[in-house]
Amino acid sequence: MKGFLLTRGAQALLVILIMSFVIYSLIGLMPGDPIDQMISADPNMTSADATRLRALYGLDLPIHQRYWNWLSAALSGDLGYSRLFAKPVLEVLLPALKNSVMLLGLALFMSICIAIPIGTLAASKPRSVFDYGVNLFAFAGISIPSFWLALMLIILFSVILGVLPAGGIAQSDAGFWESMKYLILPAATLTIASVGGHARYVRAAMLEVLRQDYIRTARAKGAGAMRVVWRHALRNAMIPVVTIMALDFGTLFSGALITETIYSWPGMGKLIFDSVMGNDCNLALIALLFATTLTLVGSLLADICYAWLDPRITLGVSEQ
Amino acid sequence: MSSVDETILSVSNLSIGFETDEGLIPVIEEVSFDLHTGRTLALVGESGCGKSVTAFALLKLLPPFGRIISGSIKFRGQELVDSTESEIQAIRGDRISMIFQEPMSALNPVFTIGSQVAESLLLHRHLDKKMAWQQAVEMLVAVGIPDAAQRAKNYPHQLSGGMRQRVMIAMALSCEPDILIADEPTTALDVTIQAQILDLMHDLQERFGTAILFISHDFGVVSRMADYIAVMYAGKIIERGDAGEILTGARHPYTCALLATTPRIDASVTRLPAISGRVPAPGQRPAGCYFQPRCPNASDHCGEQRPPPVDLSVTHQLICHEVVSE
Ligand SMILES: Nc1ncnc2c1ncn2[C@@H]1O[C@H](COP(=O)(O)OP(=O)(O)O)[C@@H](O)[C@H]1O
Ligand SMILES: [Mg+2]
Repeated sequence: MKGFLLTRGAQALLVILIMSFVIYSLIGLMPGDPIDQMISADPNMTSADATRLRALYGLDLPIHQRYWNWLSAALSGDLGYSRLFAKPVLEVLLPALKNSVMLLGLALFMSICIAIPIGTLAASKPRSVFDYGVNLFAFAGISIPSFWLALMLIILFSVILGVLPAGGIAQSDAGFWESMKYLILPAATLTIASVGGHARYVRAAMLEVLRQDYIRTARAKGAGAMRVVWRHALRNAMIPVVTIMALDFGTLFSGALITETIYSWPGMGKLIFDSVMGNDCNLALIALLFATTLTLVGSLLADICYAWLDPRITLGVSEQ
Repeated sequence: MSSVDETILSVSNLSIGFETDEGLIPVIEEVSFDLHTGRTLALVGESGCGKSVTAFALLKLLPPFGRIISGSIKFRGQELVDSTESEIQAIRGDRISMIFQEPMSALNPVFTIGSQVAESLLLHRHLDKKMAWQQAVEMLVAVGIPDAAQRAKNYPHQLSGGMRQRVMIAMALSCEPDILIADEPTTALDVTIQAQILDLMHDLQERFGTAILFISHDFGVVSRMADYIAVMYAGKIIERGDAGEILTGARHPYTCALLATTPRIDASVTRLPAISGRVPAPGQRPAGCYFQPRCPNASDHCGEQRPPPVDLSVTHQLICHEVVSE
């Protein structure tokens, strides 16, 4: 286990390093550098001034040298300033990260808590009314665009019923329930969008497991239908499902952009969007790298769950 | 306790069909046999004859599209055909147990073998977890698993095929059932392990007085185990008798052909004549005698009428047009 974590940690660091170069270069390719923006803000600036400024900030160097300078500074703890927020990058980033993890964690948790029982029930009664109902519900969830869903929820709960805020986030000194109120609609939107897909994964995995010989053995032992499904089959069915769900954590993360924007939820999706649109290179770079890291953490979690559920997998360590 | 030779399970005129898009097609037709305490009945036939379907029907574990059309399965006087799900659940694994052909896939990969053996005891004996585990370990000792207390904590993938089949036997016998149904229990194992498993089943039968329904396609294995033999072809039992009567005095052409394909240790000739053709699938069974298209002795009327039952002795019976009782 220790060896596995070390190897995977090292791999993750390597991936992050490579990603940092890729993202750095891509941002470098974007039209307009910080000096161009200064020029457009200050019409008195001459092109000689601009050249001097470029040399001063090192912007005239070739890309690999600029990357190297950035990397050495970043590794010594200097991630730079956000141009948009006029604050150190980390100070802008950490609250957004916390908000996103809270929102996505809650949405994923609710999605799993709903998907496992309904997917399992649908699989244990295939072609029943319930099964078709779940299927319909799943496709509806997958095909409804999340911006439309978000708007409908806002109209219903904020405008008509007036029970929940239409967006934003609670003051930092607000109580638990007050903060939850702001979380409910965005979390519900993300949950509805993902629960159908998750339920279908669970159903498919469950159907596959219920055909296995060891299920017949369990029945021949005298286990009842409930025990067969929830004890003998579920844990086996969870093995493929967990992987998909943990990987989903990463995709949810980037997919939450629309939801976060509509609800003005100050999370990572919105931050990345704002920083890219506002040409805030320092912030965009670090925010994108954090998103990458979170996806990697998701896949690491998937592997750990996998090994925990399936005794045949030992995480890179030999048996006994 | 019941004495040896008492009839414990009686199957009569059991017919089973599968629901298909073309309607209900018969798979098992009018099968009858008895199981006796402490004795082994071998059900023999080529693959696809309906042996497994018969076995699953006894525990009402047919696939969802399987139906018992008619007939009766009486266990200790209780009719199983119209028993409720909870009644049959109380019998499964407790009074009637089953082991299967594939020890590799019959055990649940995510639970330890100890907990899988203990589960029967939890379900039927309502022991607490610790007691059940202890008895499970004793059972693993009884089926010859070395270092059972440690092995019980292993997962199925850490055991060899032979060891897994021993675990299956331990699981099946943990509640000391009256009947053990063994569906080709040694087919997937290599020959030395096969012999060990057969010996083990023999020993445990003597110890617990279990009645065994032993299913196999291999007369070589059957001759080591059986007290009685029933030969099945295309969903029907076509010949039955005491083991000796069948092994040395079989008269049905199908039984004779099957026996001829079995390699014998003492035989000087090793040439094995195969029976040409294959078992007709349910729904494609011919008119008249089902074996007639493959039968070397077939004559014209074999393809027209169902063959009549022929009694050769009190115990030895068959259905065939071409055999007449003296
Ligand atoms: N689950 C099933 N689905 C479809 N056909 C089946 C199924 N189980 C058995 N059959 C058919 O029923 C017949 C008898 O099968 P089976 O009892 O398994 O034979 P045996 O055990 O003697 O090899 C075969 O023709 C087989 O194809
Ligand atoms: Mg079979």
